[in-house]
Amino acid sequence: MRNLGIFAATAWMALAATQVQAQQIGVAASIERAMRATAPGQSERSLTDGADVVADDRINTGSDERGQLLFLDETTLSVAPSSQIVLDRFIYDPSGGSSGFAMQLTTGALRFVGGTTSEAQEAIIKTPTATLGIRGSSALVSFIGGRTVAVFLMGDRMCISSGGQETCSSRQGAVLTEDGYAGSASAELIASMLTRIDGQAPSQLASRGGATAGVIAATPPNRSPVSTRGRHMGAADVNAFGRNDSYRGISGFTESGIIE
Amino acid sequence: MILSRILVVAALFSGLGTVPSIAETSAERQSLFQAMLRQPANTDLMLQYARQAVKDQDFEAAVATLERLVDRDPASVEARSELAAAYFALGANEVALYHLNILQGSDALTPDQQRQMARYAEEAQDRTATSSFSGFAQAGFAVLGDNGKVGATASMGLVHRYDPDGPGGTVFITTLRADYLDFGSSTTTGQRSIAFTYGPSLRLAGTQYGPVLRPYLAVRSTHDNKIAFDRDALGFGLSLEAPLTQSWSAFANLEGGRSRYDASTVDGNYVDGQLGLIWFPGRDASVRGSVISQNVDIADPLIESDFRAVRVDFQKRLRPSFAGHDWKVSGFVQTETDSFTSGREDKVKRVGAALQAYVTETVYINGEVQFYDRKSNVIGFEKSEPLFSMTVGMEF
Repeated sequence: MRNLGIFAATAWMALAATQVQAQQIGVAASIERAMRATAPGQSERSLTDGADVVADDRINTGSDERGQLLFLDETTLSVAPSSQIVLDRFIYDPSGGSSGFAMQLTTGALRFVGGTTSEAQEAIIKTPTATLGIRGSSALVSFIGGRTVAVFLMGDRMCISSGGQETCSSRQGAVLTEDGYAGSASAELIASMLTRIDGQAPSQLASRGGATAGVIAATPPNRSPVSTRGRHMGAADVNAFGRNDSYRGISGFTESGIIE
Repeated sequence: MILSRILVVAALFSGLGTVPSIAETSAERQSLFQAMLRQPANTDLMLQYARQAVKDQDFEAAVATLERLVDRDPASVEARSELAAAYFALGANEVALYHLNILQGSDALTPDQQRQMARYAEEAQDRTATSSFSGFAQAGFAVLGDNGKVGATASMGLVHRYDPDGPGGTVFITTLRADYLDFGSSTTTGQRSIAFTYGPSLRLAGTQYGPVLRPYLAVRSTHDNKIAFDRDALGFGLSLEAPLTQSWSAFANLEGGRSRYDASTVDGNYVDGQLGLIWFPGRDASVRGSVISQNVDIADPLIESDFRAVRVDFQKRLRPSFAGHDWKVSGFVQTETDSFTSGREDKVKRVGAALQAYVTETVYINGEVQFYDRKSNVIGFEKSEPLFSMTVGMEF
């Protein structure tokens, strides 16, 4: 009887642990051909549009497969062909509590577009040779041929740690590798990484008409950028033309306005 | 001491930026997101969600959603154009250019779309350039309201940015501003001034959105029709902008140096300071409140003075339905006290409003009205004067 009780308790704990591990953290949002996921202790399953992605999933794509994952905090991962990632940690409290995101890229490439968790705390992406910390932000990351290359697209900053050295950059377009900061991304590097992640763009496009998201109307080319949190940038530039100039000027809206 | 306190407070505040949770986004957006999780392949939902994200100024969420739309329909002109513009809005110019090149390489764009994409591409190229210039020049006429005298006025501003491509994003900024106003020899009202500054823009916390400090060298010169106040100055300054929240920033400016006044041919020290808050009620609007202090320490009781002011500015960019291009509406109110060693004390109120109406994307007509009212404890120094001006200008 006592053994039965221990067995029941153990079975309950194992079941509870499985339930925790199988907690949904997102969905497969766009699958091209196929994408496979394996949760710990489970057999591999094929992901289709709308399929659950769970904590600790190991995700694989074949050489002609790619897909996007959408997480509960709005983080989006675009996974390139011939890639493998492991979703190590996803903690998200919709009411604004503690949060965290950590994953591994063991091979291949991805685009990380941050959601709420990476605004509160750095999202961690580990490759076999480096650890990236991305805050408030988005990045392209590849681990191909034994080398990590990360391009910081937007956000507060991105850091890379490798061999005991840490390098951080707040420059948009910065390239970080195991060797540290490698300058701004060239057009060729961006094209190469995006082509790997998204596939070759079609040479001929077509107008679909219909409704749009209104981005172009909201952000004409003459506007300064906004932060990923929607904060208005460029306020420091109020000084650029002397508008914030405390010295007495004349015409226009210099601080002293009218002259004597 | 004061500046160091400001820096400490700014650094503290910069770490306290609140993070919006989904709970803080609109109920409509939350509902759309939940629906999108259930039906991630529904492109209508994606479009609705992206639209709501744009309304919330959350272009990163729009990017994530538009990436899915492009993934599902890579040949769509509309989805890719919007994706390019969303990356541009976030300052991810390299990725914006990648998509803009694809768009411009296609013959599916209408002439209007071609022009639009070319403008984004041109601007994105400028923003990624190692060296870039921007500025404005304007000229026109001004009218003194008290005597009806008509004079000439002109202003120009030039900013050069040099980006040495370092990891910290430090940019070296050179500014040049010149103003001219003259009503002829029959009036003492008239002034020519020029100001030059040079210094790096430093991200104090090593983050893109954190506080920015700019130490700078300043050279200033003002010559007016009343020789006694002609002034040349060489100074050093520090300006700081510290974001507090999504809608609020603090700013401070402190400049000190040596001035020389022509009439008395004496040198003296000056210290100018300004401390304030900027509120951004929307992307195209700002309201700024500040306190200003200026001190001139010089062996001339007619010039040596303490100046204190409180100022509120606002600016709003809008596009009226009947106008083909943007308008900028701005205004200010300032009240000040100027105390001279000689015993003279002035109390001044200034108020102004301006409308800058663009006739093309870069050419504008600017109309301004300002009113100056000075009370003084010294007879003869009281003055009440409106000034109107109309200029035509161009930004580049």
